[in-house]
Amino acid sequence: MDKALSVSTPKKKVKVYAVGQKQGIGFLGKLILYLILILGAFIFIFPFFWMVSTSLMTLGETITRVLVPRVPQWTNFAEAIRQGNFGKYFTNSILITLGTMAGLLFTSILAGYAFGRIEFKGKNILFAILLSTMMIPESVTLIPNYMLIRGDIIPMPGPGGSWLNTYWALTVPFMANAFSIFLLRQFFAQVPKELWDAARIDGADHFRFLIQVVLPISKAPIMTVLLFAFTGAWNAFQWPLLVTTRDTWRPIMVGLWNFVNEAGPQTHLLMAGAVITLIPILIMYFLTQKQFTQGIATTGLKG
Amino acid sequence: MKRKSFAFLAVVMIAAMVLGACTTPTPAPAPVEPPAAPAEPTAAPAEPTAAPAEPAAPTAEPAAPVEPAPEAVDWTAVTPAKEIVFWHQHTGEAREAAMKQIVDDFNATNEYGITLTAEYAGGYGDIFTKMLPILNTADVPDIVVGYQNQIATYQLADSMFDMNTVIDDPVYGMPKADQEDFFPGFFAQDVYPLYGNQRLGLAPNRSAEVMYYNLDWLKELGYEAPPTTPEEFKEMACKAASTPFSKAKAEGSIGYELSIDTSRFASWTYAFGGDIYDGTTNQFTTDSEGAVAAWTYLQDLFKEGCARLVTEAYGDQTNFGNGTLLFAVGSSSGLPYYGDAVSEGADFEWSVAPIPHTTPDPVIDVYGASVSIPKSTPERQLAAWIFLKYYTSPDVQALWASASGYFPVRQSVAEKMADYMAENPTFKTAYDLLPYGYFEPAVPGYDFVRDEIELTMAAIVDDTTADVKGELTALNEKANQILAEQLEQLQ
Repeated sequence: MDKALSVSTPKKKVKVYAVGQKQGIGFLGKLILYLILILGAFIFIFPFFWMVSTSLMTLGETITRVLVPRVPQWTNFAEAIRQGNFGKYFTNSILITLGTMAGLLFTSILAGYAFGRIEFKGKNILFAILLSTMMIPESVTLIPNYMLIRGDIIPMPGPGGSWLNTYWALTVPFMANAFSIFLLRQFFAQVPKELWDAARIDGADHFRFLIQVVLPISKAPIMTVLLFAFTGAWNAFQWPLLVTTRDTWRPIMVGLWNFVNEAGPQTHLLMAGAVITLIPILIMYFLTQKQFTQGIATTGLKG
Repeated sequence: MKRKSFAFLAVVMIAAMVLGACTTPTPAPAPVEPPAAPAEPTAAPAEPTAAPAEPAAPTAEPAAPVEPAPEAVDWTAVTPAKEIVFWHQHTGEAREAAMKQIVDDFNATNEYGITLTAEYAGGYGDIFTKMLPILNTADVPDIVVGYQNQIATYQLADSMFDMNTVIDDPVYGMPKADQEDFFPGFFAQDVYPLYGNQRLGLAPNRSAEVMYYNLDWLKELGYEAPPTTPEEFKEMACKAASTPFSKAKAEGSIGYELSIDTSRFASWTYAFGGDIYDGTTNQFTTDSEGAVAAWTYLQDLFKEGCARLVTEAYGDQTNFGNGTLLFAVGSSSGLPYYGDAVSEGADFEWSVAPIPHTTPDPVIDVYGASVSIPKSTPERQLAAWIFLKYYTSPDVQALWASASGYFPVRQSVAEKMADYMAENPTFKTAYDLLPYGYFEPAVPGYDFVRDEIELTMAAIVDDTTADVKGELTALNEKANQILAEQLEQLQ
């Protein structure tokens, strides 16, 4: 164990630790810590393990509750894709997710910047109202949003005044999000004032400052917003089921529902379908992992 | 000061939104699903016959009609619409394939050139959620599946087509012989005394609450047949809890697993001679003597470790299949799934029987969604009615029942399904119980009452010291309060 450096001062001895040195916690302490972490990791990982394992089982193995399949049934994935009409739904999900992400990024960046860096009348009130919308449960707004999309409150642009069974119903309602605006606002507010002063001297206005200075240094929080947007749009089930009555724009989560019948499940196929739907999220996460962690950390560091 | 104003304003905003959410309950989307259906309470079941003759027809006095009979329509002057839409909830390869065949055959053979599109619109709860905002608009589907209490809720807005206007029509009507071919109880289930005896639906299929039992395990425990009384049930269940099945493919053993589902509540209450709704007084009776007796009995089973709750979706089905559960109670539509679970699991001899009862004869909770026609144009309504006649015709019923595991609603179909029943003896056993059918209430707001019933069930069996009578009395008060609020809208 590294020893502290004892430095004598005129009045008293002070132990000084080099950067990175820790006060010793002892072997037992470390053991307990690691055991807790392993237990925590196990609790989080086991559901994923169970999902993958079940996706490779036969129906009989799911009934007899074995932990691992005797012979992996890779055909379950093909069967899940076939029965769940995953080809079509997968494409729909990708298009819906990309559209939602693009729209969300656009609104969140502009709104986040305005709240974080521009002074205007009523800014605080507006921000409070925005934050308060995060408290409203989704189930409360389901019917009003549905009526809005149907054109009951104001006619929606387009033929018939209703957006039911359209791409817009699945994307536009999610193109603005209080949490994303808040996240970016927190980061943008921390951009040093000196940078803004320097940009002003160069003749930049807010828009140019945003594009040329702020955005290039905001990769981390933007990736975070993108990841949340991707996950939310990819996992959407209830809303797409509500606003679509035809297969045309149904996303992949609706396809998964095919495996939950009224009177009995096909657990192995359901899990195979779940694994398939999870893959894009995992890819997205691993690609953005570093920036995601950074984004969460930097937006919350300073008050 | 600025910060304080800001904080104060934020609190006021949030409070305003929370208070704004606390509005008078109106028909809001019900959460769910499970196989439970509302209908008229029937009288005591008829004598058993070789083939199910009839679930007993409703004998409860109808409530005073609140709407006059609909005006007669000259249907001969109406041309059926060429395109109609049917919202259904069926998933799974077998049912989807059967539905597709039925729809394709209809589209190919109907003489009116009607093209029907069947759309999966989610589960029962999802469909209910979707329907509420679009009632009485042009966006309604032409045919929608729904439980009777959901249709009753729709009709609060006078949004459903009364089939009485066409059922006896000389051109488009359903011949009397066909009407009489329906099991009377099923046929009567979609007639609503609350709405002046309007017919707001037709039954395309039904299922019943049955007890699944492991016969091989019973024999190992020293019994030759399933229990017929609650005492026998308890004795067998408790013995099974301590004596695992020799062919079990998983660890553990238990006699009975109860799923928190209102239909279980209703079934056990009926089995003890009680009822959950009184059709003469139009009041819930979830604290009836029979209900108290049933739930005291079940609480006791839990207390003695002979029963436990189902803790995962279809967990009882899985445990039954792997041989660790002796008895399960569930819908007869689960027969094919139980069959698969057993054959893929512990592979033993099994069958179904009525829930053990204190009544002289079994009392079987029969339920199922019906198909209804939302109000739209006469042309669309007529086209929809033509499809409903087709959907409930004997040949189509035989196809649908064989593929779906549901019971057919026409008596003559039994003959057409003779081969199917010979190959599926458990289906026949369940089918033969239909004469003992009894139904859950078809009243608006029943979906919300179901939620309360399920909370009470959990409270009674989770805490085995809970006061059963107290819980059921509180439940009954809430149920009748909900009913009163719903019925206010009829005034």
